[in-house]
Amino acid sequence: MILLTVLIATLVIAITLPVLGQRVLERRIVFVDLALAQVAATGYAMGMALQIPGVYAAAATTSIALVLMALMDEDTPLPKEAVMGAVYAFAASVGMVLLSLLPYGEGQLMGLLFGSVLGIDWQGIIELSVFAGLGLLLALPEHSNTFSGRLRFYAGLSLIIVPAIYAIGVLLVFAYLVMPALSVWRRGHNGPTWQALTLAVIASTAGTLLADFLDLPPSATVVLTLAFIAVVTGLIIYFIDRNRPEELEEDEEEDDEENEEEDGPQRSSLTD
Amino acid sequence: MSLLKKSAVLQSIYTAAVPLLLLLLSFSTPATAKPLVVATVPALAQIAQAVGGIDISVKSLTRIGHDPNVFSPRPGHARALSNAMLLFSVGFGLESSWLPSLIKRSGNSKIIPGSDGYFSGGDAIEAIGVPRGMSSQQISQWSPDKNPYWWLDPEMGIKVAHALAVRLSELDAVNAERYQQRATEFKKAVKERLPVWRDYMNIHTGVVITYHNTYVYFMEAMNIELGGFIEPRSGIEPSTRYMDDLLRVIREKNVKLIWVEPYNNRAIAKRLAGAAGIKMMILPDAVEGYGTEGYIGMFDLMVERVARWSQ
Repeated sequence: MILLTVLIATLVIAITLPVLGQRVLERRIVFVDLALAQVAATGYAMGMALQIPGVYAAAATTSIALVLMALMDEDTPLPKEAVMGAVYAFAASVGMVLLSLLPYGEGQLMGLLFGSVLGIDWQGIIELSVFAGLGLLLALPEHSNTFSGRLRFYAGLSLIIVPAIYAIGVLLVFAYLVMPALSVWRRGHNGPTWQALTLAVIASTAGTLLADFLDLPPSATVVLTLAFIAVVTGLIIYFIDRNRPEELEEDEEEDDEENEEEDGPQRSSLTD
Repeated sequence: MSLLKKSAVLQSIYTAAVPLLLLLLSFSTPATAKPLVVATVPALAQIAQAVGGIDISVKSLTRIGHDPNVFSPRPGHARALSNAMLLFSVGFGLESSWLPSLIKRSGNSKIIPGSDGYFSGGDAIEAIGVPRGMSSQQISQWSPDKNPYWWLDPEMGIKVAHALAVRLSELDAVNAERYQQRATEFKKAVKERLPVWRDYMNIHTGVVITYHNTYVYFMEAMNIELGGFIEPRSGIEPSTRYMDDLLRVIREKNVKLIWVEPYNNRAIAKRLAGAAGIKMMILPDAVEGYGTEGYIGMFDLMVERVARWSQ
């Protein structure tokens, strides 16, 4: 029974996170999920300290962080990963100070930051799926480097990431966000989404069943399985690419032409 | 002229400030300061208060709700230790991740392990063996010599209180008799309540599953059978097969309750309780209160809470 909920939960994130991960890799903001999750957890701790419901406080701090992040242009000369890392470190430190002042805060905050896939029930799976669906609706539409476009993307991202980390833990979320997208990454660009999704689904199924069979921790085993499959897939893609240089060069040229066509009007609309 | 005025003003400030400073210093370091005993967890502070009474002052490093396994000490804790006559620790490795460095930072050579100023409960008692009702698989994961939560057994508390009285008597010979007397009073007060707690637990509790091995001493003392741990190895996620095995144990042994420490993640315990259709409760391992009253109050609260949730 527990095995089944774990399997379904890992399949839900296997279907939703790699797609989002490709958008995250594209924007070079991998740390954003950790930063957002930490801001939400710190907001929850602030809520406990101020004796207001933690969920509202977490929503408030996350919304403020979203607006501030959205103010940063994607073509900013600032290294975006460093900004995300700084947000994470700042929020984690505020959380730690609050935690030291709150009796019993530790357990609640740990629970909020480091959920476990073993802790999710059917209701949790439904909630995770609904949040993921809403998040993808916001995050997946066409990329637009405007304030509203960035705000929409970060809002979608936080709607998926924050509940997912709370429900199944940071390890699985981070792995599924990055590994499949990285595995199919080709010559500086995102690879086909179907490939990332397929390997994520295979890793979820194989990893969960393997963990049960070998009596191992499911989260870590699924991540290890995902890493193994991602590396194998990445190598296969690399060798296939290497054996077809002409075809790829042609593809690349076509891509470049398409990009130029796409970028042209976008640049002009931005300059307008 | 103005220089003269300035020097006069300065002189009057000095005249007022020096006695004030001396007065403040006399308050901050009184000549008759009581010896300081620093305990690592609140329950140990209560045992120290019970034995030391008005002859010592007691501080606890961790507070109620802190997980003593992963405590993050602050500079204030090192300062407290620097003035301590005695450091009273749980032992059995509970504080091993943070206490040695804290002792070093305090610069107090009198409280180094092995010296007279260091007293560990682990040196005064034997750790309990494998609890009743455990399967062979669970026994293989059990470390009998590592369970540090002895203060949750009232009889262990009594033993350690007596050993503490002996150590305090060695360090502060003038009050030796009073320490011994208070330890005897502590024993009497705890022994008086023990049958009441056991009766309550016999009526209200069946087999119980706990998150970690925190409550094993308490269960042994109250004759409560342990069905298993949700997370047998601290910090390592259990497997799905292990969780499904626990569900089988719950059905076979008619387990009705899961106990979780206040500082541990409740999600997995909640999930198991939900899947089995039983209850999950948070059980404290410390309560507010001074000395014997506080220590007994902890068991009163634990027993009352277990009895209420078992209904």
